[in-house]
Amino acid sequence: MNRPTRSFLEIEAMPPPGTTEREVHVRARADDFAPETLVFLLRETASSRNTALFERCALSLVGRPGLQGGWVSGHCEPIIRSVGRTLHDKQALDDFRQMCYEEMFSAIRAGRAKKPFWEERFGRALKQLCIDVLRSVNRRLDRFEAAVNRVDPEAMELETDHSMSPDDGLFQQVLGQDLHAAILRLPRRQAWAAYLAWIDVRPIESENDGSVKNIMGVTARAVYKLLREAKQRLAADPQIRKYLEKR
Amino acid sequence: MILNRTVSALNDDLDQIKQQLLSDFEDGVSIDIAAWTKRFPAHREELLDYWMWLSGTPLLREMDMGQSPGADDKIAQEAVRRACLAVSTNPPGREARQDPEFKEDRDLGAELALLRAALSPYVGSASKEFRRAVVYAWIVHILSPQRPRVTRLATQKVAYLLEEAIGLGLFTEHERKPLGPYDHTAKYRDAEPIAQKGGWIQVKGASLEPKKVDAKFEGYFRRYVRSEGLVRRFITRLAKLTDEELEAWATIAWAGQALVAAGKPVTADSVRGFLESSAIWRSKLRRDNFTADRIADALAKLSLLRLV
Repeated sequence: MNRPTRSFLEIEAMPPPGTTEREVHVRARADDFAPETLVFLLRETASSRNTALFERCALSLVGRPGLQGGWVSGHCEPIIRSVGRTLHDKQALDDFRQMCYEEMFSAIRAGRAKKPFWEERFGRALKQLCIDVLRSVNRRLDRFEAAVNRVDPEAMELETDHSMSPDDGLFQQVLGQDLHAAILRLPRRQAWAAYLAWIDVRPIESENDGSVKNIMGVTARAVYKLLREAKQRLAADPQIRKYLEKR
Repeated sequence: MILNRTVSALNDDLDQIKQQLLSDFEDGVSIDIAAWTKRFPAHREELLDYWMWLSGTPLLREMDMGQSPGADDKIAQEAVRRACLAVSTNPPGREARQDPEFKEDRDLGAELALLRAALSPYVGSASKEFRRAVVYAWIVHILSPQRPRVTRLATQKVAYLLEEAIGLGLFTEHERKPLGPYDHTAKYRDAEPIAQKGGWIQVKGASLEPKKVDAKFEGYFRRYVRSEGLVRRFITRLAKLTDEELEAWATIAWAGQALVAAGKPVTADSVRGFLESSAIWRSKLRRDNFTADRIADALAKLSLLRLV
């Protein structure tokens, strides 16, 4: 276990496990502990089913409203919000935050043997989890969009109108961030092809390991088909359509 | 080190590989994703997809660490409450065992929460009574192949839990009755009479039998439940429970909602306390399906499904 020095020293300084002294020590200092130390304590208190002390440490890890109206302690919210910054709708962001917290506690409770890095590099472990949650939210949102028939009919018309497909030159005019975000909204395989070809600017058919077809493990023809479909979808994406309208 | 790991630890490896990829990204190491997919061909798609998302995120050291929720934000506190509930009700290490049912319930709960948030109010000309009848009959149709007999009790409890899960605004008439939450209007006023008249179900005493339905009926319920596949999965999950378990789940879900509304913690003990304080439900505590262990187990599952 490669525990950070600060966390290592905080744990070393604690009274022996299971003693009242340890509980008093933790309660008094929890807000100042490194997040890796708090994860260590959450695992310890979960396995001894000490729910009260678990709650105290959990509140220090996620933060809580203070008496003066501000937010006290917490190590999670900036990371969660930074990864979820592409979710502009408040409800979608709140759902994402809720899932990140649920998954984080689940990962912490999974234990040191299975998920050691939460006690080694908390920030990185949380960021990885948030990315995975964002990916799953995105896929689920796609499914529900279809389920509740919320697909913009106008966009669907454009999708089948090949004359509206942007040419390659257009993508040089689209701001990189908007293009990246729009590509992430594509179906997975189209997104991979578009990302590799248009963001990473990789050759498509070369026999080189770094070509799009070899990274994806498909034929060049399949890549071109995916890129054609991706172009049609992107042409209907509101964030890309604004560039089309400017032309 | 990662390359020397054994194939038997592949699942764990993927987590470690992704963590290493993220560490390289954070440390400013130049990343050629082609090299990673070549080194780990079994994880090609996952790594490619993960990298596509990771590469668009800000570095940890560049994040605005001053971001915090509003003072009235409840999401983080709610997550802590649920984590405490899981600690008090789940045996230690259960999550580590990757119990398939545990994982399925957790995923199902997350998807139901998303559907609940995404559902807009029904706009259409069908009356609430008609929609109740369609969904009620459809519940009977899904439960039927999985049970020797579909009772009114089971249908009622599933309707109640479905309402709690996705908030259709259809089954909102349940009241405290000796066998748990019960909606007497469904039997006498709308759901059963309309479903029977429509030829979708047949009522035989306390049992409900499905009858052949046409494409029109299928069109109705798809429109009313919005996400047919997800709701079908949820009802199929509930179909695994006995009538006694369904009674316990619906009653405990009711108690959990009442405790949350009163700002009290939801634990096996507090649920038992709630039942004890209810004249109509007190006697349940003497039954096998309401022992402390059974309540704790039901609470853990309801919590995963986001029903408490």
